[in-house]
Amino acid sequence: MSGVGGAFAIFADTSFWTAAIAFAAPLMFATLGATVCGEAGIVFLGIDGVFAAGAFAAALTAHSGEGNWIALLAAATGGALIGLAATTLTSPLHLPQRVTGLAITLLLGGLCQLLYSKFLADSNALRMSPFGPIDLSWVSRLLHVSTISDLPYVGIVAGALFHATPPVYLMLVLVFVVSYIINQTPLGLALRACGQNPGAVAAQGLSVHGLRVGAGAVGSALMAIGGGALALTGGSVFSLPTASGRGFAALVLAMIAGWRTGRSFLAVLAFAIVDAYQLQLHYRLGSSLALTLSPLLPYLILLVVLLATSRSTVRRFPLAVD
Amino acid sequence: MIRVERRAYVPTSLVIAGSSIAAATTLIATACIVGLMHVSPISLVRVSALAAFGSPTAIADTAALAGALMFTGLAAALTFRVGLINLGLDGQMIAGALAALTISSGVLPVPGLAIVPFTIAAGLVIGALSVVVINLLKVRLNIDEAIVTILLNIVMLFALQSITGATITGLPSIGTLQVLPRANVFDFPEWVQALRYLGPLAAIIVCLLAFVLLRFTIWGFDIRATGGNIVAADFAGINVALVRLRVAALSGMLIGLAGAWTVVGAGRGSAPSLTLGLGYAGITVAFLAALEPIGVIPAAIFVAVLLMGVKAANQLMSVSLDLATVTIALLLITALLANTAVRYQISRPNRSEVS
Repeated sequence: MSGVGGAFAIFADTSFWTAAIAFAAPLMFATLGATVCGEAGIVFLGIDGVFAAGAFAAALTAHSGEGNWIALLAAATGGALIGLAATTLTSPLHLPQRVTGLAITLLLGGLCQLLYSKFLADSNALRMSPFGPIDLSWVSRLLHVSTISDLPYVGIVAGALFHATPPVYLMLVLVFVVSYIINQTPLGLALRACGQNPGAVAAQGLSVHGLRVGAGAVGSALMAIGGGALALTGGSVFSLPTASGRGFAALVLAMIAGWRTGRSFLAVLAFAIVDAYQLQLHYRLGSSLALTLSPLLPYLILLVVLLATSRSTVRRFPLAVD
Repeated sequence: MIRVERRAYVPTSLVIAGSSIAAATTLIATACIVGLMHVSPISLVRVSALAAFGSPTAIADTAALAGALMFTGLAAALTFRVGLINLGLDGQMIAGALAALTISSGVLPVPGLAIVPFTIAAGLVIGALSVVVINLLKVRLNIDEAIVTILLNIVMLFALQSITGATITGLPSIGTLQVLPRANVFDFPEWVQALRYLGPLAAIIVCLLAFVLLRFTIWGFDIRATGGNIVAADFAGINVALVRLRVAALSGMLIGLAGAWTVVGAGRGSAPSLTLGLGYAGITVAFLAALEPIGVIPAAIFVAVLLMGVKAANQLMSVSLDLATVTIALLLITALLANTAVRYQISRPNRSEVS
């Protein structure tokens, strides 16, 4: 009985919600990137490699003494260049999209591991000073919503949310910006048409390939920022393995949400909560036998949800080269 | 005035030339990367050649790896031909190996060597089932099979690592040896030990059979037609769904066989070990072979030599094994580029032709 109580008590812990929000931010950047690509008709399987490369690039830049924002910018630039190259291969040059994406993930993942092990071999761990939390609790006082923090659970969540790191706030801003651009601007309309009816875009006199390459570059930049955010909000010593597999998770979350920004935000939150929860279980219960498979839990849930929703969410893109 | 246009017919010599250029480009790029890591490429080549061909044991090991790659490469080539983008060969191979291991470690009350066929059958069945299920999910639920199979790969890898008690530290690089949790109970006599060296031979025969199947039989014609233009094939009365199902089952069996073979290959007491990443390497083999069964044979041998070389460099020259992942990825990209490039030609039409 106490075990069940303990399992629920995790939710009453501020550190749990802080962890969940910290997990959600990098994933959300990557999911936004996947959404931008997906709206334009690109399923970019290179996302995992770009995510890892972004994390590594940001850590490397921060390690070499630059500021954290410069590090994020470096990751974004690298990501944009990779996205430009990758979508040029798949869109104007007609290479098969998914296999090329896989190759890019393998290439970037392998290169990062190679460089990373070189750094570790020189006993020169990538050290940096990660983003610290910003105290925004004055906002709640300003808005006279201090009663919120007295409510059970809500107060705990709000406490975590108002003491988050800068990338979290950047993420919240970007969710609105990307959502606005995709849904409310002519550019967004052209992008969505690229995914749903490329022929119409061509008939309008716009370049489908151009739009797709642009979307690939911007999307990859967002994915790389996600990786950078992961690296710069973790500990002061960078470890690459934490980045692997998360990019794919972000892509699936975007897919589950049917390439909608709002829905994918909720999906990412849910995923991050599950992920943070299984980690907290590990801390509290130690590594017991029943928990050896718990890192798989978020992925298994992802798979089940993907299978359950795919009939309604997955679009087959008319002219997309598979 | 020059014009880039699609070829009506791609000559075989051009395909071979394209793949050769892809392979050569990859080798040069790898040499550059190795050079940047302050390792002499020339000594790397020497170490690699010794590791791949230096002794009878080395040749046998290379051949065994090439055999496994032929199975996964052929499986990938077949599924890609009919438009089923199965990227989950790694997970399916692990599933096949684990199934075979479960049978071989004494679950069934079958005496002695009679358990060997059951072990292989377990691999075949689990492999076939896994790909068939993916195919059905694609057809019935409209899933994106590429991302689902990649996720399943991660799940199977993590599961395998947890079962074996290894700590989960991200995705292992291609070519990592993973010792499987249990030993099998076979007590092979000497002559059966020799059998496992027949694996590569069997793989070559299977590739040749697949070539005959594709080229000279009605089933093969259906597969080629489905791969060439699925709408036209459907219109011509070919049961496209059935063709895909057949190919899925066949390629699944090949993957499962590759997994089961690693279990059968190990003798009593010695825990069998699985080379991870042979699925992704198999996909590379398939595209290097331009999805042709007969091309899988040389492509698999090339990739096997490459992997053996990097493994040796890892052991002797302290080059990280991640170099294997990088090389395989480079090979995949260049092979994809070559496959696409050979389909086009640059022509200079005559003035009379234009007017």
